[in-house]
Amino acid sequence: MVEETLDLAPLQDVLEEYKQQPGAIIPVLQKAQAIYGWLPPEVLDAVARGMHVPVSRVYGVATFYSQFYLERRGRHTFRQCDGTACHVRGAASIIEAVEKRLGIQAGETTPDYRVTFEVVYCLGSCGLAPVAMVDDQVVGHLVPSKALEILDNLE
Amino acid sequence: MASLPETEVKTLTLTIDGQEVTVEPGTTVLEAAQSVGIDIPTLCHDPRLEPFGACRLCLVEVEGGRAPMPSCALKCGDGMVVHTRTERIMKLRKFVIELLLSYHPLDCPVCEAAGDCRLQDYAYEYGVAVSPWGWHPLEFDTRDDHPNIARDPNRCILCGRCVRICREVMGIGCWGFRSRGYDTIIDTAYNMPLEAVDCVSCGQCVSTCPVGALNMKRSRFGARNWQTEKTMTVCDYCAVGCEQEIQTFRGELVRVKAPTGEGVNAGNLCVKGRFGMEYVNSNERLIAPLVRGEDGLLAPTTWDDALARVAEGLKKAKAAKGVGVIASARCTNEENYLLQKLARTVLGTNNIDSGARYNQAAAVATVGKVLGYPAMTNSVADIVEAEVLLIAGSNTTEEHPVLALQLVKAAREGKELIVVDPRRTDIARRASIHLAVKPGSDAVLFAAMLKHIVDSGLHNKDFIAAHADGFEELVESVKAVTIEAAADACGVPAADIKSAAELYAKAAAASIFYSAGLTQQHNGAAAVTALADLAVVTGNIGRAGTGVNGLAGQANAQGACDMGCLPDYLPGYVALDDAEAVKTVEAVMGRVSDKIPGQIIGSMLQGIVDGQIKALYIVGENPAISEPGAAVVKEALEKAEFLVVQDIFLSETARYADVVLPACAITERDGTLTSTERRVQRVRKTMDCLEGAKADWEIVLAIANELGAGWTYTSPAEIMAEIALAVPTYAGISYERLEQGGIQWPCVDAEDDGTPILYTEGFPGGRASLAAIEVSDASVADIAAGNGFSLLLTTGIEREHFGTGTRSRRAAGLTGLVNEGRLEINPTDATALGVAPGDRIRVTSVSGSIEPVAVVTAGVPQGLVFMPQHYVEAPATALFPAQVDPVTAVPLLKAVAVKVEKA
Ligand code: SF4
Ligand code: SF4
Ligand code: SF4
Ligand code: FES
Ligand code: FES
Repeated sequence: MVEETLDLAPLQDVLEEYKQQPGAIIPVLQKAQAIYGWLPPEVLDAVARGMHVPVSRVYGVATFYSQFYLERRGRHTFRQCDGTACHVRGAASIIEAVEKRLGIQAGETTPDYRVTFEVVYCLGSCGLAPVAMVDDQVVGHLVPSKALEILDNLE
Repeated sequence: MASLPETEVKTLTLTIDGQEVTVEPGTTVLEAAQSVGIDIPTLCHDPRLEPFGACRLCLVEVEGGRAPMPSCALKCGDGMVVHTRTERIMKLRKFVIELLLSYHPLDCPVCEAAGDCRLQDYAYEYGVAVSPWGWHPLEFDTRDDHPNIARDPNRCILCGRCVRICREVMGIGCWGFRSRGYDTIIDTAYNMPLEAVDCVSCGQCVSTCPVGALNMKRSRFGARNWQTEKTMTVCDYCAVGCEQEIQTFRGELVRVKAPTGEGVNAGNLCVKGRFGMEYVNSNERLIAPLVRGEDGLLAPTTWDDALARVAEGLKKAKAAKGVGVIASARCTNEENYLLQKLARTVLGTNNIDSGARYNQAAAVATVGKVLGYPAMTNSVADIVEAEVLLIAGSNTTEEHPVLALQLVKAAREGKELIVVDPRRTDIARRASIHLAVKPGSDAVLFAAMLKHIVDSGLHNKDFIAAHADGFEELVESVKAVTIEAAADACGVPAADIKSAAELYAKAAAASIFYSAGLTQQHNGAAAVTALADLAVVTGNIGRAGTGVNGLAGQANAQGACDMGCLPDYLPGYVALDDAEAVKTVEAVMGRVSDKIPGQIIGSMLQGIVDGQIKALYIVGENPAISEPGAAVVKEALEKAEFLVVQDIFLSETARYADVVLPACAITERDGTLTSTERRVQRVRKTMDCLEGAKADWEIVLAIANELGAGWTYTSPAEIMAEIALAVPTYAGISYERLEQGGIQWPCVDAEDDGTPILYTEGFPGGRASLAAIEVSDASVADIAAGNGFSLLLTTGIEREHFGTGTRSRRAAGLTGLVNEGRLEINPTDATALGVAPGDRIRVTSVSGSIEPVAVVTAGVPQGLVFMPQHYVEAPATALFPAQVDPVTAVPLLKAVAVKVEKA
C-alpha cells in the first residue's frame, strides 16, 4: 500500500515530451521509473491516459521487460550472487544471514523500504566470489559478517 | 442530386493453387483464397480485426518470394502466383500445431469449445496427435469471477484476438499480454477482475477466441456445439437489428452467437444480444390465459373462454365508441399490421398507438416533414465514411451498442465527433467537442449553429437552390439568435458552438445521429427539425457518411410506425385526411370506418379516466411503468371497464387486466422486424411455442375472427404479402427474398435491391421543406429547478437492461451484472447532501417518489442526476408528470425537478 500521494507533475512533463510519439511506451516508462523508483499503478494509469492507450497495454509492456518494477523498491538494492562460483564459496550462508537480518525473503523489500534483497546468478566477477552488488558497487570476498555490516550501514 | 465522379476501380488478378482470382486492391491473399473456396487455416485472424500475423498457420508460398508469408496479412498483387498447400507449407503448419499441442491441456472432454475449436479442427486435419517435444501443460489458475465469462489461460494459444477485439472493435482494452516467454498470459492490468476494469460484458472477446480459453460461463456444460439446433434470427432488444444464431437443445435456448460476417453486426453483439435472451427460458412465462374472477383474482382459463370474453368486452366498448389499442414496438411487422387492421376495420377506431410513441413516432412530424421519409436516412455500413459526426441526445454505446461500434471506429480513425449531451457519456469522452448543454436547450444550440453557418456563408447555396424550399423563412426564424445568448442558454462556451458549426459545415461528409435524448426532451421536435434543417442547408444528405439518423429504440419501433400503428396515419404513413391515398390502402386492407385521428397512449389512458374509453387492448407494452403521470396511469388501469393485456410475462400492466393472453416469445414465432436503418429482416422460429401460449399474430387473428372478421391468414408470410400491397415502400419485399438477407425500404418492386441511403436521387416530394426553428422559452422555464427541488432528473437506457425490464430483468446473464436501480449524482452534489456511494436515497418530484441507490460520478454535471428507466421497484418515469411534446406527442422523460435525500 502506498500511503503518501504521488506527485504526478514530473510525469506530465515526460508525457508532454512524448506526446507526438504514441509508440514510445518504453522510454516513457523508463523515465517514469527514474522519477519514482518504480512504477506504481497511478503512474501506469497516467501513462495510459497520456499516451491514449489502454492501461492493459502499458501493464503488458511493464511486465514484459524485467527492467521495470511494478512493486515499490527499497532505497538500496542488495544483490547477492548465487552462481556456481559464488555458491561453492559459501553464498548460501550469506543469503541466509541477510534474509534473517532483514526479516524478508530474497526478492522482497523491507517494510520500511530501506533495502530490496535479490539473488542473482553470476555477476561476471567469479574471481572475487562470493560476490554481491550493493546498489551499483561490486563487493567481493564476502563473508556473512561483512555482508551484515554493509547492510547495517545502509541508511 | 450531385452524383459522385465515377472513380475507376482497378482490379487485380492473381493465381492461387492454379485458380485465377480477380479481386479489388487491398484484398488479402487469405480473403482472395476464401472467395474461391480455398481453405487456409487461421488462428489469429478474425475479419473484424486488423491483420496480426502472429500464429503463422496461414502461411503460403508466393512464387519468386523467398520465405513463406502469412496470407492473412499479405495483400494481393497483380500477377501473383500463390501456393497454399506445398509440402513445405504443410510441414510448417504441422510444426505450428505440434508446438501448440506441446503445452495445450488437451482437456477437450470438458472444454466448452470442443466441436467449435480451431485447434482441435486443425490437429485433426493435420493429423497431429502428440507433440515431438513432449507435453508440458501450463499451470495457470483458471478464473471464474465474471458472471458470464469464464477464463482458462491454460488453453490460451496467445493469438491475441481477445486483446485486439477489445481494443480495436470495442475501443476499450481490458485485456493485455502479461509477462513473457513461458509465463505469458492474457490478463487485465494488475490481474483485476473484469468488473473493475472498463469491461462492458459484451462477450466479444469470448466470441473471437478460437479455442476454449474464454468461455460463455452460463452455457457451460449445457450442450455441445454439435448437439444444438441453430437458427438465424434477429435480436429483439434494440433496433440495430443484429443477426443472431440461436442455439437450442431439447427445446431450450442454450446460447447465442453471431456468425462472423453475417448481417449489420458482422459477428458482433452487445451484452443484451449475447447474454440477454435467456428470458425465453424463464419459468415465469405465462402458460395459460388468465381471467379475473368474481373474487377479483386472475385465474387460468381456456383459450376459448378467454377469446370469447375478449370479443364480448371489445364489442361492448365498440358500441360505445370507446376502444383503444396499444401495439408493441417489439412485435413483428405482421403482428402490428394485423393489430392496426383489427382496430381500424373491425373495432372501428383510430385509437391505435405503440411503444414507438416513446421516440420513433417523433420522426413523422420532424424529419419526415422536412425530408420526406420518417426514418434514418443512412445505414450503419456507411457511418465510417463521415468526416464529422454530430451525435445529439444519444448515449449510443449503451443504447445502440453495436451501431456505436462504427462511431467508436470513426473516432479511432481520427474522425471528429461532436457530442451534444448533458452527461459525459462514453461516446462524449471520445468526442473532439463535447457540448454539455443544459437539458432542453438543444434546439437553441442547433439554431445558433445554423445561424453561424449562414452568417459565415458556409451553407451550400447551390444545394439549397436546387433542392430545398423555405430557406428564407428558416433564416428569418433564427434572425434574433446570437451565439453569445445561445452559449448562455445552453451553458457551453460560444467558441465551442462556433467550432462545432464550422466543423460540421465544412466537412466533405458530415452525419447526424440523435435518439430519445432529443425526442423526449423539452423542445424535442424543434431540436430534431433543426437537425434536419442543418443537414439540408449544408448539403449533408443523400450521400454516404451524411444524413440525419434518428436511432429507433425498440427492435421494431420503425416497423410499428411503418405498419400504421399511429393514431393519425394508416400503413405507409398515409394521412387520414388524404382521401385518395386512404382509398388505395382501403382497397387492400378493408374499409377504415373512422377518418378522424385517434388518441396516443397517454390520451387513451386519460380517456379512460374521463370515461370516453371503456376498453383497452394492450399488446406487449407496459404503460404501467413506461408512461409518465403515474397517478393517472394507475387510475386508468384500475378504472378501465375492460382491459386485455397480451404478453409473455405477467407485466406490471397485466396485473391490472381483466383478461391476460399468453404470447409466444420472439424465438417461437416467424415474422419480420424493421431495424433502425429501415432493414426488414426475418425473425425465425427457433423452438416450439411454449405450450399454452400462442403467437401474437395468431391471437390477433383469433380475436378478429371471434368478432366476425372472417380473416383467413395462415402464416406471417401471407400477411407480409398483404403488407407489400398496402405499403409502397415494402412493395418488393417477400419472405422468399428475405431468405437472402434483409432488405432496406424503400423497396418498390421485386427487382429493387432496397435503399441503403435515402435521397440519393432527390427528395420524394421533389424538394426538401426547410422548417422554421421555433423554441418555446416557456417550456425551458417549466423544467427549471426550484421550490426546494434543487436538482434536475434525467432518465435513459442502461447498457445491461431494456425498456421496463420485462425481458432483461428475467435474463440471469444480465441481472448478474446489474439488477438495481441506481441514481447517478455528481460528487459535489452528493457531498452537499451527505450522500455516499451505495446509499439508499429518496428522489422526489411533484409527481412521485422513488428510492434508488446512489452512484457518485462526475459523469453527470452538478445540478443533474440520472436514473435508468428499467426498474419497476424504482420507476424513474413515475417522477414525471404526464406531458408530451406539443408537435410529436412524444412523452417528455428527460428533465424534471427533484429533490434528493437519504432514505
Ligand atoms: S467482454 Fe467485451 S469489454 Fe469485456 S473484456 Fe471482453 S471484449 Fe472487452
Ligand atoms: S484467450 Fe483466446 S483469444 Fe485470447 S489470446 Fe488466448 S486463445 Fe487467443
Ligand atoms: S445492439 Fe441492439 S440489436 Fe444488437 S445485440 Fe445489442 S440489443 Fe441486440
Ligand atoms: S558466480 Fe558469482 S560472480 Fe560468477
Ligand atoms: S492467421 Fe495469419 S498469422 Fe495467424
